[in-house]
Amino acid sequence: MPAAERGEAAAVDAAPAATGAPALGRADPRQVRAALRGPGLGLDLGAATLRVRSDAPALAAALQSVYREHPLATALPWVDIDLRLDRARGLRRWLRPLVRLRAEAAHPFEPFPAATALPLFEWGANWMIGLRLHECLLLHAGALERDGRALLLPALPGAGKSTLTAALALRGWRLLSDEFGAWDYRAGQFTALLKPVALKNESIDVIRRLAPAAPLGPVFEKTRKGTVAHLAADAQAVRRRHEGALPGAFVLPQWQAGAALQLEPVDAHALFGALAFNAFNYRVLGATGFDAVVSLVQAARGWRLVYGELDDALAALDRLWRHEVLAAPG
Amino acid sequence: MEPSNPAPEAQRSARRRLVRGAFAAPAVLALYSGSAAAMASNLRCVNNQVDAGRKVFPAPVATPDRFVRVRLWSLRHNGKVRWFLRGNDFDALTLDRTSVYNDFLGLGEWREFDPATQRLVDAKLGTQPRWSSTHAGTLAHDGAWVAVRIDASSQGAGIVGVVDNTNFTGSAVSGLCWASFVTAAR
Amino acid sequence: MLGVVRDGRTLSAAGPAHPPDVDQTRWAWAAGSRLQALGEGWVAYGGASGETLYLNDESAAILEVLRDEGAASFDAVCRALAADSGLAPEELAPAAAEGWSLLVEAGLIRAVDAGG
Repeated sequence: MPAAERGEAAAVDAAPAATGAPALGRADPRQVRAALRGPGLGLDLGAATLRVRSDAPALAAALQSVYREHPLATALPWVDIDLRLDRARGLRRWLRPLVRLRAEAAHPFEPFPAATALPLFEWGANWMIGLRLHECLLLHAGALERDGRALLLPALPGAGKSTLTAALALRGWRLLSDEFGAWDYRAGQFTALLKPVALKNESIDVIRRLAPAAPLGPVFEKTRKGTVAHLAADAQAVRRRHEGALPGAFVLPQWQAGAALQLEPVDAHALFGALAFNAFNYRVLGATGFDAVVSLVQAARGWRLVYGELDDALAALDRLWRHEVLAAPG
Repeated sequence: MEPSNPAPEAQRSARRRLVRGAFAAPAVLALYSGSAAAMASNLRCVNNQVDAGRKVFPAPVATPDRFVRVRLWSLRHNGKVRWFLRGNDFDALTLDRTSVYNDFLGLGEWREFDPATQRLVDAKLGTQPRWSSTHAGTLAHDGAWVAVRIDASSQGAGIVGVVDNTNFTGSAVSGLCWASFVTAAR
Repeated sequence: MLGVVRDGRTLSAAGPAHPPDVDQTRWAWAAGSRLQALGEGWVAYGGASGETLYLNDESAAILEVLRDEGAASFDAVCRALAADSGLAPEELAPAAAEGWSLLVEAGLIRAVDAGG
């Protein structure tokens, strides 16, 4: 790494936003590139910290876009997940260049085209969080906070979870995560794993129509999951990412084209199965996982939501929150 | 070791819920964590992979399904084995305290299942299967299972299949999908 | 090679292990097992297997008897369930026996030493 860049990297403020580090979106791109090529770029997600190093040319600008409100940091006191994205060597470097993700001395994925380094980073980070972050029960769910309580949207892929999560975040709910409902079973609260919301295919246009000024990052076409773009977390969500939330409600969403709105209670017995079945690390946690899901089901109620129109879903969730969650005793 | 449990008075009692004059078949239904599937978005692959020709039940619905396992029984004789599904196991399927609608295999019925083709063999049997007219064979459950899909409304059940554990081919469920159903070794 | 999966291993044509003698042995919860009423049903965690399970009232009742007694024989459990249900022990024993094997397989209960 050139000496000038090493110097730049060392000069970057290592402290989180509270001590005045610039937000990534407003930082000097040269500092960001230098950090990636040198000591690494630190991302404090809330419940986990991530360090990423890379020589992929496109990644710096993409990270600045989708983590725009996260503070620029290079020397975090602790790193939970350490990732590298390196360009392929040899001829491959120039002909259809590829980038490869490395985590814990392994390459969990096949190489991606270099231009799609950001989606590879996002999926790789999610993969490693799911593998490693066992201080929390990780529900496969969108997670948002309002009034100190968490709304969880556990869902199988294709149910519309990310679209709904993104829409709620744009309508005043504080984003915790679009992928992980991170239940800190010792502290008894949901915590943020604050990364950008991954939107796919038609969802990108849906969110653009809902909020034309939404902070969307670059669009990546022809990835393995189709066309992908990311919605950046807002400044409030980043600033409050270490604030937990008590369980508020579990809503199992299912988008169906043309469907009439249905919002029906789910029995606790069935909710248990839905949460355990949708948790990344339920089995790894053994009895702790079982106890954690029981405590969640006892703490908050569940509903099943079927919708065809996003606005209907948003309104229904707003009513549910006011009439069922906030009005509930205790 | 003392069982880990809230004090008995903190939760209702199953013994007090028993219906006077009746004792139904005890049901124990394994619930599988979809952790592997969640990790790799693989439940989508389950729905995508179920071959219309292999499905026994109505097409999968768009709402999230749940997966449970049902015992596969072995019938052995002279070193050979055939596999059967038992109606009592399907009849015992309950979710949300209601029986899963089941017109697949009723109480006392049996049906042969061929893991090699992932298909049911012949017609239902009204009695416990025998190896032949002269040999009963040995019928037992020795740890094999099929995955059964129950749709989100608990209406209907569908056999998803049994996987080839070396190549993860030839099955309605691919290896990574099946990984979320396989029990921990014991 | 195609085959039937058991815990990730292809089964041979060899048969299962000889089943335990449920009539003479005392049984108790496997260490670490859990039983929880939720909504209209029951969920359980098998301490010996790491499995999570749905139970109905009948299988949960068997577990409750064993929990209440600490350890008990199959016959003793049938007598307790008979008192609860108003049936004769021999009337419910066949169903209870079938449930017994399920609870053992699920890692919820285990045989204890005769003196233990």
